[in-house]
Amino acid sequence: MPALAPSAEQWQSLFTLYIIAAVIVGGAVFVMFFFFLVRYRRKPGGTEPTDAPRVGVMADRGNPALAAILTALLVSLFFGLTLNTFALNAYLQNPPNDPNALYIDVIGFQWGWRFVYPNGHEAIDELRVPVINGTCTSSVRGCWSGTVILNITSADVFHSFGIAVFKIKRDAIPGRVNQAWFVADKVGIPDTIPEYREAVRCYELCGTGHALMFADLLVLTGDNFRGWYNGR
Amino acid sequence: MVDWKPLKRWLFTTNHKDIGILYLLTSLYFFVTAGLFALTFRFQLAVPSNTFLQPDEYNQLVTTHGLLMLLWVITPLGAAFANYFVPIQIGARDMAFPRLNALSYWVYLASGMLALSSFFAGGGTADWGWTTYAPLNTVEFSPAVGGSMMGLALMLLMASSIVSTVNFLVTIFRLRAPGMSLVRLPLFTWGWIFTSLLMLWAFPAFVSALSLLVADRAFGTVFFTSTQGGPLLWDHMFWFFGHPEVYVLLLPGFAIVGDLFSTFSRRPLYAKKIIIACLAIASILSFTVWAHHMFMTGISQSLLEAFNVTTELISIPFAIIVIAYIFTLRGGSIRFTTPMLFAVGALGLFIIGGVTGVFNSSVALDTAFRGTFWVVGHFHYTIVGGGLTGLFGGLYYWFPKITGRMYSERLGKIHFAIYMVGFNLLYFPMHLLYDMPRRIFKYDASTGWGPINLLITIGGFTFGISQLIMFANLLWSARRGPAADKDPWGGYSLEWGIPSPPPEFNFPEGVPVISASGVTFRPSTPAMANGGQAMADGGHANGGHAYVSHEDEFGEEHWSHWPIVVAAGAGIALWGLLMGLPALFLGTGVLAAALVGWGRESLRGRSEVPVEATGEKWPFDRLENLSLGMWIFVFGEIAFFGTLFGAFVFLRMNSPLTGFVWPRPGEVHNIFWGGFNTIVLLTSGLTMVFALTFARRGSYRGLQASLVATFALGAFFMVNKAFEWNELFTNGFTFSTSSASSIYYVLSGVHGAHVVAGLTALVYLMVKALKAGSVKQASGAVEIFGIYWGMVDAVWVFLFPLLYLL
Repeated sequence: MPALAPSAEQWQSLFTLYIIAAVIVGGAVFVMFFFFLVRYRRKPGGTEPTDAPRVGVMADRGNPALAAILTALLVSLFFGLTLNTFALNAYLQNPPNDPNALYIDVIGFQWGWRFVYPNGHEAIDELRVPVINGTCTSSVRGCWSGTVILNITSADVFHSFGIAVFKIKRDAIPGRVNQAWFVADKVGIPDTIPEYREAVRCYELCGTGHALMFADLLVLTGDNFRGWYNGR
Repeated sequence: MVDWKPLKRWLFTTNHKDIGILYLLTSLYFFVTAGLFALTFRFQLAVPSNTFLQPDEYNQLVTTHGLLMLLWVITPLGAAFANYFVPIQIGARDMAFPRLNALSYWVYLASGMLALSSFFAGGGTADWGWTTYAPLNTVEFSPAVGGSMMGLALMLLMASSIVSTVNFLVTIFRLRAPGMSLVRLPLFTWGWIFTSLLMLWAFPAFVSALSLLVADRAFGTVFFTSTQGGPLLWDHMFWFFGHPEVYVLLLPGFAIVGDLFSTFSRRPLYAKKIIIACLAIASILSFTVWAHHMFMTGISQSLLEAFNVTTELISIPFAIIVIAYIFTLRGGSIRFTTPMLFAVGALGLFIIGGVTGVFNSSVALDTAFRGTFWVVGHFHYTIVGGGLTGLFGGLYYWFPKITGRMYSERLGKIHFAIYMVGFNLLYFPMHLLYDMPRRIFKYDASTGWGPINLLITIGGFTFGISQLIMFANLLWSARRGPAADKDPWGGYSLEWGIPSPPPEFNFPEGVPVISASGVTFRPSTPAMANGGQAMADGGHANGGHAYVSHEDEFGEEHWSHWPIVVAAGAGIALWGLLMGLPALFLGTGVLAAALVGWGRESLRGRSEVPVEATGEKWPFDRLENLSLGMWIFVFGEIAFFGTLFGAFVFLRMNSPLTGFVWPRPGEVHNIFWGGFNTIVLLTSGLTMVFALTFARRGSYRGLQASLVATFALGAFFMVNKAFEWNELFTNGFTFSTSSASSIYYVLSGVHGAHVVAGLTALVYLMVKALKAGSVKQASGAVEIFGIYWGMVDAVWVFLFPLLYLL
């Protein structure tokens, strides 16, 4: 399995955790369900239970303790999953305090994405970002660490900005600015990395062009990105 | 010679069983229609870069598929069974208000026709997805008049559902047979109680959201185009309705599954009281989870985490119900006939949908899932898997009771097998497409989504074709099937104790009396109502023969031609509102004439259902049917006005954040004028109290004088209001001036509409007081109107400070 960008990797591990919980809990329920269905099927010559339903008899039975135990079990299970969810949520929602981050304004419109860079450069339907750069720490000035912070809004209707390859998403809403962030881990363009083709997509129905509202992702080396950024 | 009798029966019936059949056939018709829409756009998505559909066609089909399936198919299919079986299951001879029941059906049909006709309104119908997100839903981005028509159709449908809800709640709480305590009610009836309560609280919220939308589209208000309101205002209002709606869709089918598990495993339901408690908890929680549809909108993180937790919590009651259903099977002798197979299938599919729902509750995982096919897969597993599959189980289960004939068991099992294969082929692969945006009309082959989509489409057609087997089976069996016994399954609810199909008044052997040992029948006690008075609106069918079937195919009691005319008038009027004045005038005229006819019919005391004196009415023993109905209606009105107040608060609190200066008190509105008008309206409340006092004392002159005074004050209030609006308009404070003017006109406008409706009812009341044999007989009606008028006054008491002083 190829390496994933940090946000996608974290998302994937939380997803796996949920899958494991779902398979165990759901599996147990299904096993019990099918066991009862087979075990208590009507057999030839079998007799009816003594409390079989009759018209007008509204019998009641059951065990409240079982409901309480089940509730406690589910609450404890959810407790674990929720803590993990909140941790990942905090990570995804709060961009790192990184002086070398690249800020990009993202404006969704019918039908495309406009990206506005700090120096005023604009690009439509092409998101160019620098790759992660481990040597560019907060003590080093004038470089891009690879952290990309997006300020997302819309020029017309409700859109939703998502990059599936990084597992990030935020709604692009007119009159509001929502933040998202990511770090790209692999240099590439759509021709070299197929997942970068049409990687940025709109995830909210926004009119007849909704299906065509996407942008390509281009992750450049620091030098290449600087060349493009300064040269335009 | 043409035999008009059947036609007359089906057009003018007020018999709950006939109306149930009408609901059933109509909802299945819409099921086929919306299903064909789905197959059309699945065909489009089968292969990459398909050119079968144009994008606007695709969007219209996706939108109407969702709206029709949710609101015109699944809920009415549940309503069909509820109409037919809830009165029987509680041991009643009909609904509390048979004519209102017929009205609900015909308004439902009219709204459906309005919805379908919106396709041909020029420019096509709504194409913004069933969630109707703002501001795509505004005129600027979706100018087609068909969209507005769909909005009106939705409002009409909501009106039908709210009337039906009031009717069902009064019926279930007031018309139960002796010994039929609440806890003894079958699970299906319980499911319908919670469905009704959810509709009563959620649907008015949708009406208020739609009111703002239609006001924006038709009158140029600026709720969804201004930054104070905008997309998030719609989101909050819509999902406050939208999430409870999910449980409206689920509960009827899900409750049927429980009854089927019990019947076909030959064991009483396990932990029925806990199941009922869980349904209650889930219903309450369903109003606290709406923002999980808004995880990505950027609203406060702590709020989102709270909604994350409430969403997890709501899965707990459902998990308990699932376990209780499974435990019901223990020690049983399970018979796998078609209804049971569908019940087993429904529970299995619902478990999968419930598990994926836990994924969706995670605010972090939602960064990937939001707006993708994962979500589509999830909600089809719950609503179609848990809800519709359960309803289909109910259809096979009750088919012998409704038609008196058995369906083909072999074809039923074949249907089930293909249904399950098709279903899972259709919806399971959607979970693998958690990168693919939903509602896109095409995708490129390079995305790699092609093969899975082809699989989904194949599953879709398999699923669709399986329904043909059901239709063929049921259509053939309804005419040719072997005769059905009155209790082919060994069921426990009362419908299995009476003939198949049931006679007109349900219980030919007399009043059912429930005790721990079962049901017995005894002759009816002469019916009493109105808190001890003799049945005021004396009818003919109220005596000891009340529970005996009439020889006539449909008795006079079960007949009124006004409901269908009212519905037709309302439908034509709304159509005309958008399409042209002649139709508007025609529709309004028909509506007005029909309402007068309805009122005259009421004055003659027809269509009253006798209340069984010894029946169970707890906890509403002391209320009359009509006043309980009015109280329930007021409860729904609170949700309606409450949501509008919520919209006001949202706009008001957002205005400083968006740099909009809300007009200061007195800047636009004349406080003295408004205050004076407030006093006028409150005085009319006082004269209404006098009216009630005089009515109880039997003073005809006092009653008439107070009613006239109430009418005069109410009319004066409206005249004042008209002058006020006129002056505001002259001063340049119009519908589209700002969000402040928009909310002012909508709030005072809908309140004014309530006043006008009240004045109309007052005219009826004055005629009734004039014609009543004794004034005391009119006091019941005066009291009911008093409840309504009090509500209208109370709303204004909130509105005045909100609009004039804040």
